[in-house]
Amino acid sequence: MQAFLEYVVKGLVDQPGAVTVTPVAKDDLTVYELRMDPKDVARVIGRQGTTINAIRTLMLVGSAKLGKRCVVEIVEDKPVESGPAR
Amino acid sequence: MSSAQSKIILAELLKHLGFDATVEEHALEEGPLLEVKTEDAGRLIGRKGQTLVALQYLTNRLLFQQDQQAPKVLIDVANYRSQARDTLIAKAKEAAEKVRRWGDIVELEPLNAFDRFIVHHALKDDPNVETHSVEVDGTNKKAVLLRPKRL
Repeated sequence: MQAFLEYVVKGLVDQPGAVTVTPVAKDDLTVYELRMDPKDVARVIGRQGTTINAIRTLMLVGSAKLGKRCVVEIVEDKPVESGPAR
Repeated sequence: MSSAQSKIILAELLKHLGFDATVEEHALEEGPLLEVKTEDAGRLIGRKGQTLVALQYLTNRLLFQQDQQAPKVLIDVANYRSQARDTLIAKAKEAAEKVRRWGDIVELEPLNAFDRFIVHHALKDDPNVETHSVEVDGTNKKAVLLRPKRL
């Protein structure tokens, strides 16, 4: 499942080298922490979250096939300069 | 070339998701169709087809990123889309018959743009009925309104 996430996200962004996926497993729940170049975040989320929701839908299906559950979170470590745009 | 690209992308996605599947490519009027053959079709379609929608959306996003000229692909699993399309056309024709016989105005349920296109297209040569899309409160989908054609 981590390979799926990396394949999709790296295929969407301008800076695939900056993409990292950190799985945090707890029982049958795995949280995938997703980090990337701040400029690429918008592209991975998509308009009204379409892209990230499609990714989550498929991640859930893939995990369910293995009898597991998962959560995909985008982590922004550094605050974006001068705060959010809106 | 580009449709071969989309086939590779889809096969890659399916493999990473743990689906044992093969992908066949067909040329349709509306564009290329990728047909997925797998034992686990139900899981890949999802409730109300939402998994299939997500899969098609992501495939097209990844394809666009590789080649902005590439035509968008349709994805079908176990004839789910073609069956849904047939059901929709049957429903549209049934509503049109009601309009023809009783002169009623019939409003179908709210549909997305692609499904509305199918309905309009199915009835465009019907001599008795005209179709319009109307806004519906509480959803961003529109409904198709069928009414007798004024001569």
